[in-house]
Amino acid sequence: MDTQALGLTLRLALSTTVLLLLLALPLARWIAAGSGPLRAMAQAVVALPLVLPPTVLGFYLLVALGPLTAPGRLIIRLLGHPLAFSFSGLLVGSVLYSLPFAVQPLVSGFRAIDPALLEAAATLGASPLRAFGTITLPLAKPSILTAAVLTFTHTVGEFGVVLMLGGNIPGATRTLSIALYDQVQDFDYTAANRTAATLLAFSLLTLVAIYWRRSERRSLLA
Amino acid sequence: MPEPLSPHLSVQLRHRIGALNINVDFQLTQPWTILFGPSGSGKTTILRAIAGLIRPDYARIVCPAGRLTDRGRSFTLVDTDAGVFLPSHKRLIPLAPQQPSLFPHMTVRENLAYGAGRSADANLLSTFHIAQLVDKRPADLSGGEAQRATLARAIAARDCRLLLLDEPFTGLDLNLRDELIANLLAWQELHRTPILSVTHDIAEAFQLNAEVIKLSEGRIVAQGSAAQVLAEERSRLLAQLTQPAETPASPAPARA
Repeated sequence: MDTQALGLTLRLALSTTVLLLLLALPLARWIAAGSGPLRAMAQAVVALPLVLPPTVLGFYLLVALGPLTAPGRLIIRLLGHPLAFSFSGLLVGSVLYSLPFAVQPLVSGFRAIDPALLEAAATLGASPLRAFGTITLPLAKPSILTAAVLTFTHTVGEFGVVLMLGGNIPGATRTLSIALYDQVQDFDYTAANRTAATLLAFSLLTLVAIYWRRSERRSLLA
Repeated sequence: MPEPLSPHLSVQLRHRIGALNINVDFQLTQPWTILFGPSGSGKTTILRAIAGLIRPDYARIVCPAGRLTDRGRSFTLVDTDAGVFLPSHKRLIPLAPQQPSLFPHMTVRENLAYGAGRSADANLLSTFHIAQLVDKRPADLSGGEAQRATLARAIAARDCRLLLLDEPFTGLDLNLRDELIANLLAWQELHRTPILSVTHDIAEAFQLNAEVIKLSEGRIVAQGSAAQVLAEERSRLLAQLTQPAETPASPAPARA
């Protein structure tokens, strides 16, 4: 078992989840607050990683973050090295790649909240920010949890973006899914089996936890 | 009827909602004013416009300088011509909607403290018969209990300028309604907060002895004391009561 790859994978998944939730909460709140072409556009862009091959996303990020573009050159000047082929680059790619898995549960969670509650909060003197913190967030807790778990597991399982953007640098960009690919390339099927089984068990357990929680909630509500 | 007072709220509102065209211009001068009219006459929409929950097509809603305003300056809630729209949370005008809207993840006590910023006093709890419910969640309340708690939450709000009550007593049994009305009038005597409520119940209007604004199809058809404005309605109802054999007069077309 490649413990370095395991550690890196968990670190990447955790950082992605935290960063993505910070990004997705305000974005989902804005999308859920209304309708119109601008919001439809935002939702389409957010959903793109669901339908695009991960390699497409990886390719564009590789180009965008590299020395060929102005933002890429700026990043290189600021960091002293390009974002591509580094942990931070991987983080950026993972955040974008998991965007729909965080934003979509949050949008439907926010939309399910009775607008009368937010109106009541407003007439009682609560600012929109306070109403968001005291009414929307607590009521959307199950959706926030779903978003976090899906982001985490999806990041653990990503491959194409990592391969394109991160390459295969032990300790920096070599995640479990990449390690597995290497092990198979080296005909080390025993090691590959251990890695694959770990990933499979992890994903299955998480999904069971999510569905179990959902059915518990449903039977509590009934 | 008390003597005329200087107005504490002046409302000009034009708003189209569905097939209804609301066009009203009125002033609140009495401690308690009632918007009276059949369902679909625009009562709730007027309340929502005053509370800041809708953006009206045209509106000028002002608290003229007086007791409700700071340092004797008038206070504009909406003025569409001047591009002024004060957001709901800055108006200090709680609205108790007809449908109870308690926050489901909070106890009754926490609900009441939400706008008040502190625990509700025992007096308020007993006024609304909810003292024994304070630790319950809204899901564990009956419809009437939730309605009373929603009313109490609006009344408990801090620094309230004007209180808006949408059909506050509908669905409550008559004894409780009479008691709540008496308690609310006593509360108002103490706090001097003006109330604008909505009803289509003629008995309620007489009981409150309030100023009545009668609405029909989004327009004001009469404004004055309950005795003046609703005399016609009352005699029609009384006629129905005293002559039960006669078929009731055809009701005004109700709008859904």
